[in-house]
Order: sequence, then structure tokens, then C-alpha cells
Amino acid sequence: MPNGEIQKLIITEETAKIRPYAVAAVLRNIKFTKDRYDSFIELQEKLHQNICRKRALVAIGTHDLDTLSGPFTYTAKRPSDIKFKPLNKTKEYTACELMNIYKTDNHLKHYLHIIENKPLYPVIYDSNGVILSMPPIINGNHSKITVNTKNVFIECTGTDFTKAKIVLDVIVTMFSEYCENQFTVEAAEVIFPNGKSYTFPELAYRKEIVRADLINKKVGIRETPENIAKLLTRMYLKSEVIGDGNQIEIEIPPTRADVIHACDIVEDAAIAYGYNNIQMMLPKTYTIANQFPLNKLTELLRHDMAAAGFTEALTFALCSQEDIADKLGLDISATKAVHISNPKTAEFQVARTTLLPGLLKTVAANRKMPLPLKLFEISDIVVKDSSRDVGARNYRHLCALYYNKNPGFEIIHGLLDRIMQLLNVPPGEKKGGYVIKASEGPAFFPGRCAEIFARGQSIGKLGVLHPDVITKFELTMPCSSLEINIEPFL
Amino acid sequence: MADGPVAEVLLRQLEAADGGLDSAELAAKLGVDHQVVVGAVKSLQALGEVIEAELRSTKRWELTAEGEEIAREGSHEARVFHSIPQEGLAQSELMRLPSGKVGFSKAMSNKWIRVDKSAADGPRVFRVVDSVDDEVQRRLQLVQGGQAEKLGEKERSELKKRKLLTEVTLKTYWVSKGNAFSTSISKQETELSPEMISSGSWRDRPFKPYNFLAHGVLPDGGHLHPLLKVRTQFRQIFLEMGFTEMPTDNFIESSFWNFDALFQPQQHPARDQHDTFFLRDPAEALQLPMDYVHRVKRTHSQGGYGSQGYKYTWKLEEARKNLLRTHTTSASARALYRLAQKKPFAPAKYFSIDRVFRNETLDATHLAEFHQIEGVVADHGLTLGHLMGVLREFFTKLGITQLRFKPAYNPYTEPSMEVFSYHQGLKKWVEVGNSGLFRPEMLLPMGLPENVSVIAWGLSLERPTMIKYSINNIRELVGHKVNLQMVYDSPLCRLDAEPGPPRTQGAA
Repeated sequence: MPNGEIQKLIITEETAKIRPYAVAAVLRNIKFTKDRYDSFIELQEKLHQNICRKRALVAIGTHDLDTLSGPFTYTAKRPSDIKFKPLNKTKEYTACELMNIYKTDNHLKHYLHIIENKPLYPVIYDSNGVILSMPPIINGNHSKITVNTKNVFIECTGTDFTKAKIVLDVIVTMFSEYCENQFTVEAAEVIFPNGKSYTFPELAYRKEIVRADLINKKVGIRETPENIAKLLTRMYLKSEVIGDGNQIEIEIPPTRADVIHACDIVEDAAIAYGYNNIQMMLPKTYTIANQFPLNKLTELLRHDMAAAGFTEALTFALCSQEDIADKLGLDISATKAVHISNPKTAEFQVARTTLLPGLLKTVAANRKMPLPLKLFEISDIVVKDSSRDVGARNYRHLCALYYNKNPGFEIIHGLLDRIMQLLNVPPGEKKGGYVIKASEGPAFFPGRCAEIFARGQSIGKLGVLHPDVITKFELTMPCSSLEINIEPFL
Repeated sequence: MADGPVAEVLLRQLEAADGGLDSAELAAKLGVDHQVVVGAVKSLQALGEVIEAELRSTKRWELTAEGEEIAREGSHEARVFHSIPQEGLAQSELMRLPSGKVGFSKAMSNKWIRVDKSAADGPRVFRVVDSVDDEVQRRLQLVQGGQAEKLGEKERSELKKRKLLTEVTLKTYWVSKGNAFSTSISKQETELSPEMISSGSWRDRPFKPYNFLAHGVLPDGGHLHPLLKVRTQFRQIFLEMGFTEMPTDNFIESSFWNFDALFQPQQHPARDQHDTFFLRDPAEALQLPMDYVHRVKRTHSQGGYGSQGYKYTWKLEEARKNLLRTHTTSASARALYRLAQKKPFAPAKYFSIDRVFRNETLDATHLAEFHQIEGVVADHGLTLGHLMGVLREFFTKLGITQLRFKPAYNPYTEPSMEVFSYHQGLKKWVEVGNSGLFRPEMLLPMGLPENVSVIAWGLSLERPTMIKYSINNIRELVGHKVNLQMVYDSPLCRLDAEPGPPRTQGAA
């Protein structure tokens, strides 16, 4: 250390509400080449994208220490009070101006939301009032790092203390090899608002003890403890056999923050062994298989629907509000539909409460096909239901359509009769049978609609579709449909 | 047709003819369209050896529409010449005439006219010669009169270049008498009828030969959707391997079951609005198993069960957020939790094939909704080797025998593996699935015994279907923009059979 003391970073309490954590360290007498410099920048970007979760959790700032003078202060100020020359710009701007300028910057515009609407913005100063950076947006130009930089001051600020420490550890371990004093890093002290002081980087090495037979058992191999230790060491997890000869002590370096459980060590051992070298074995697990009853019923019905001359469609579960309400003459509030938040397009506004729109859209997309078009689908619809743990549930519906020069009510009616026959539901209201009763609905042509009652409950409707429905779905021919809930027949 | 008037006339003409007759000539003679004669020839051919017909190709020169106009009105350059009076004509005026632009340059190169650029009120065009010989018109009239052969080849190709002439290929038949020639054609029967059977008259009737090259009439049945045919096969494979089907009839899931219970941290990018469909209504899950929730919270934030944990602040509100499930692994988590509550522990094999939702960028092979296939085995002492063994049996039933495994990463499995198979058609290794052992941080808070391992694997249903049925754009397969003809025509789904010949459209 030039003057015998390490760098200090003081955090003020204003940062608490916006970006409370900061860590710092110094790389002394580093020798950059163009490649190393590019790699240094690239590492920061990669870390920002991954573990830093696009700078929201942690943001990294690296500075030419020789252009600055500590101690440094990390605080938060009103945007109008922050003014500096940011990286690669020629004049000074206030933070407000920068927020505007970067709105059109393809790289930085994605990060503005992290601090944009806050009353105070984070900012780091040196002892002369020079601004190092305004995290997580941009560094100052003053302390810009070049290929000629010899001493680097690294600061990481963020909302996740653990991740900030990990990120700092990764940077210094990766680049300390280019310091004159290879593989050494100079510590820095960070003082928190409550007076607590920490030294970084932590570079915590952790030791974990794992039984050799555990690794063998989980992977499915039979290696000696010594061999396993060798395999792990090859993966940069320095290991040695200890104790009774069955235990392996593994040193987990700070660059392996992903190793948090013995299973992570097991994976590394398996990788070193070579996945394709492991012997394949069949589990001795003896089980009798069962079908999910609703799916079993669906499979049986599907085949007979095709035998009845109808063709199966597979339509989207997500659609527009219009599709399940307006186009069917209903108000959306009457549908008990589940709504998606912030849909990108109208196609993702709601989950379908009926299979009918999907089938009608299928007909519309296949207008050139010869008539009649006879389609069906047996699949789930979604409705709100407060008796369920999530507040919504699926119902398995069966829907069929007949589209031709004539509406074919008798054909759809005949299909219903056939389905009831297959489900062994006799005609007639008594004895758990089925019956249809004249009904009406905004989606149906007046006088050509019926509600279906089976086993004591209403299971759906059938009828000739209302011309308004036909035209709203961009169709031209008469059409009749049937839609029932098949769950009562389980 | 064979008993039509034209056919009868043809037979009579043939009887009188010496050697044979030409179909085009006959058509001209009879004053009918050539195609009518061709039709009669073909239907006579179908009767057997009544006639012999030899296909001949003759070429003829004909005038184009423009050529006909010129034959009538004269060439453009001649018309330009004739529109110039003694005192000449202003060039600008000339250019405005109908034949002006085209005729001007040709007339200039023929040296019929000249331009005086120094004229007082703009360039003026004058005649050079007194009269001209409109050769082009003459030649075209020759062709019109059927005497195209009188023109030299050079002259003909020049007119062809100016798009005034075209060469037309005429296919005609040279018809001659066949071995069974006769001028009377008896009416041929097409079908056996009940009357013929009862009267026995079928013995005396000639029957029209059946055209075995034509297609039959396709039966009028319905069809099953190709993706769901593949789903049926996968269900069958799992059932054959003793896997029980999990309930997955819930598209809506809470973040807790979709992410937290799987040890996926709350700050994980997948929990971003950009990748996941969160719900506005109902926005939050009303009930969660709170004892279990507390154990999950502790494992995430502090660790435990042998884990360091993620060391962040875990929030209940985050876990309550409802969404459209991003994988069916949430259903597997529910199933494993239910299994863990049953004491003593009994090994289990589960599977599911159902719809999942991702809020990602859409393209030719990605939609917001697709189907995930998932298999799970929970038992004592399962190893990575067992996972590979199960995968080998599973993929063998799909006709895939060559498998390789590569290390991978999933938030909730460790070790994890990507599964690759060798694709004969593409001649390269392609990924066919993802797999791994569930992390202890996921299983132990559920209450599963410590030495129970759970192996799992998954793949999408759409991908193998698109490969199997040679479909390039997922929208033609899934959703309302489906190609119904493709649904009508798609073959049986036989997953372990050799791929058939490439389809005429969109081969893989």
C-alpha cells in the first residue's frame, strides 16, 4: 500500500431505501493488454446479465484509482443535485438530463427503471467531490479505465449483499493474476451507516466434508475415496481423503458460489468421471400404473368423436376478451374469466372459458376446405373459483361444430345423442338420464337453442349459432355447436 | 363419350381414310374444337384395340395480338412515316402519336426519316424517301395466311424478338385402325347391378375397363389431431413402463408451487414478467400449506438440510403471486408432496403430459403455449446411472437407441443432464430432453426420507411431432391456424417405426 492505508468506502444512510449494500476492493499494479482489457469489460457485462439480474441486484463499477483520491462516499442524492460528465460524453449533465438522454440508448435504457422513479439516486464520490459513478446506470468519465490503467478500484453496489460479495470475489479472483504481485488483491474497508466496518473482498473459502460412498451412491459408480478426491480436484475443488479413509474434505473456493450443497459436489464428481462412462441401470422400482381418470375418459371419447365423422382441433388456451365475451354477445364480467396482467397483445388477455371461439377461428382459417366442416375439441377451460387454493380451476369440456350451407342442428343433436349413448346415459330425465330443454342465449339463434341436463345437472348447451356470432368470427355459413362439461361423467 | 357423335364420325372417317387421319385436320374439317376430337380419341382408346393413336407434336407459327394488329394496320415505323406531311412534323408532336415512340427509332434506323435539330420551333422530322415498302406487315400477313415457311429463319426470329410472332406447339394424334376396328361401338357397362345378378345378364355384357391408376373415394370419417396422436403414444409408453398419470388439470398455479417449492429463488430471472404470465385476477393464491411454506422459506433464506441456502430475504407475497404454469414440474412437486405425507414411504413412478405457458419471443418454432412431457421416479438409492437407464428404455420405445448425455444446469436438479440422440436425417446429435436428480433442498422440506432420490426428465411434445410429421412452422400444427388438410392426411403415429418418405411440402 503506497501510504500504508487501505482504501475506505463510507456508506451513508440515504442509500438504505434505494440500494443499501456496497463492497469494494483494489487490484494493484495490474498490467492490461487489449485482450485483458476487453475481457475485463466483458466479464462485468456477463455478471451484470446473470447473477446481478440485469443490474437490479448488483451493479459493478471499476475505476482508475490514480485519477481519484479516497476516502470514497457512497450516498444518495436528489437527481437535480447530481451533475457530472458521464463515461464517453464531453460535457456535464445532471442526473435528470441523463435519464432522458439514455432513454434512447439501446444498452442503458433497460436499467433506467431501477432508480428512475425514486426520490434519491445512488452516487459515489471521492474526497474531492469527483463522481465515480451513479449506480446502476453509468460511471463517470473522470475515472475511466484504459489499457494503461495500473491501479483499479472496484465497487459493487446493490440490493443483495450476498450476491454483491460473490460478484466482487469473482472479479478479483479472475483478474488478480495480471497484477504485478500475482494473485494478490488489496483489501478495502467499507463502513456502513450503523458504524459497522467490513473488509472486502471476503474471499471466503469453505470446507465441506462429504462421505465417499455418498458420491458413489448418488452417481452410480464405485470409485475409491482417493480417486474421487482426484476427480474433484480436477474440477478445481481441492480435495483430500481424511479421517477414517471414507471422508473427503473439499475446499470450495470463492469462485464456486454455486456449490451450496453436497449434491453440487456430486455433480462435479460425475462430470469429472464422464457422464457417458457411467453404467446405465434400470431401477428396481415396481409400480402398477394408473391413468388419471379424466384423461382416460377423454382418450376414449376422442376416438369415438373421430369415428362419428368429426375432426379434432387443438386451439389456444389464451385469447382476447372479445373472443369469449363480446363476440358471443356476453359481457366479460359475466364470464368469471381469469385475467392476465400486462398482456403484450390482445391474444393474451384472458384464459378461455369456452372452447367455441377456438373452433370458430379454426374454421375461419380453413375457409378453402370443402364443406361441411365438422370439428371437435376435448380440452380444458379455466374459470375463477374461490374454493380452490389458487382461486381458479380447469374444467374438461367437449365442444363440437358443424359448419355448412345448412346449420345441421339435427346433426349436432345426433352427435349429442351418440355421446350420451357412449357414456351410457339413457335418454329421459329419470334414472340419471339426459334430456334437452328449449333455452336461449346471446350466442344462439332464437328458437334454436337447448340446454342439456344430465344426471341432475346442466352440463351445457347446443344450438344454431346466432348470425352475429358467425359474422363476428368472420364466417359466412350457418353453423351449429355443442359444448358440454364432461366431468360429471367420471 | 365413346358413344358420342364425334367418335362415330371419327370411326367412319377412319374407315374411309387411307392409312390414318390427323386429329387437328379432322377438327378443322368438322368445324369443332380440337380438344373435342382429342376427347373422342381417348375414349375410343379406352375401349381396347378399336383404334391406334400416335401422339405427334407439330410446331406452327402464329401471330401475337400485336402482330395481328400490325398485319392489319401496318408496322409502327410505316405509320410514323405516313403521318409526316411534306413540310415535316415537330418531333414533340410525332412522339405523342400512338405509334410514335416505337416507330420513330425503327424508322430512323431504316433511314426513312431524318431529324432537323436546328429548326426554329424545336426539332422537326422530315421524310427522306418518297415512299416505303412495309416489309414487316407483308411478312406478318404471309404467316397469317399460313405460309410461314416462305420466310427465312432470320426473318422469323427477328419478328419473334419483336414479339410479333410466337411458335406454338400443337399436339395432335395420328389415328389409324386398330386390330378390333369396327364402326359400331357397343355401349359398355360400368357397374354390376342387382338386376344383372338376378337376371344373369352380366354374362353377356362387356364391362368398361376399370382405371386402376385413379384414386378411390376416401372414406367420410373424422380425424384425430397429429399432436394428440403423438400424445397418445407417449401416454402409452409411460403406462407400459408402470408410470402413473399425475393430475395436471390446473393451468393456474401459484408462484409457490411453480418456483419456490422447486428451490428456484425469488430473484431468478425466470420469475420476471418477461418470461412468465402473471395474473391480474385472481392475483394471489388464497391457500398455501403454511408449515411446508415455512420450511421452504427457511431453506431459501438460511439454508438447512445440508445446504447453505441462497441467503436472501424470502417474501411470502412473492410466493402467493398467481401465474400460468411455466412447466408441469409444479404438478410433480404437488404429487411428490402428497407422496411425502404418506407414511411409510412407498416408491412411485409418475408422469404427465400437459400444457404450459411461457411469455417469450414467438417465432416459427415457439409459441406462448406448448405441451411438456415429464417423467418422475422416486425411490431409495436412485443414481444418475438409474436415470440414464430409465431414459434408455424410454427412448428405445421411441425408436431412439443411440443416446449421449451432457452436463447441464437447472435450478431444481443437481446433477443435471441434457440428453442427445443421433438424427439419421440431419446427420447430427440433437437434444431430445433434459433431466436430473431433484435437489435435496426441494425434497427434504416436503418430508421425503433422506435416502430417497427422485430422478426426473422432460421434453416437449411439439418438437418430436414436428420432426415426425415434417412440419416446419409450429403454427400449422398448434392453434387455430392449423392446416386442416394436414390433419386429414396425417398418418398413424408409430413412434418406433422408420420415418416414411419425405412429404411433398415442408420436408424436414
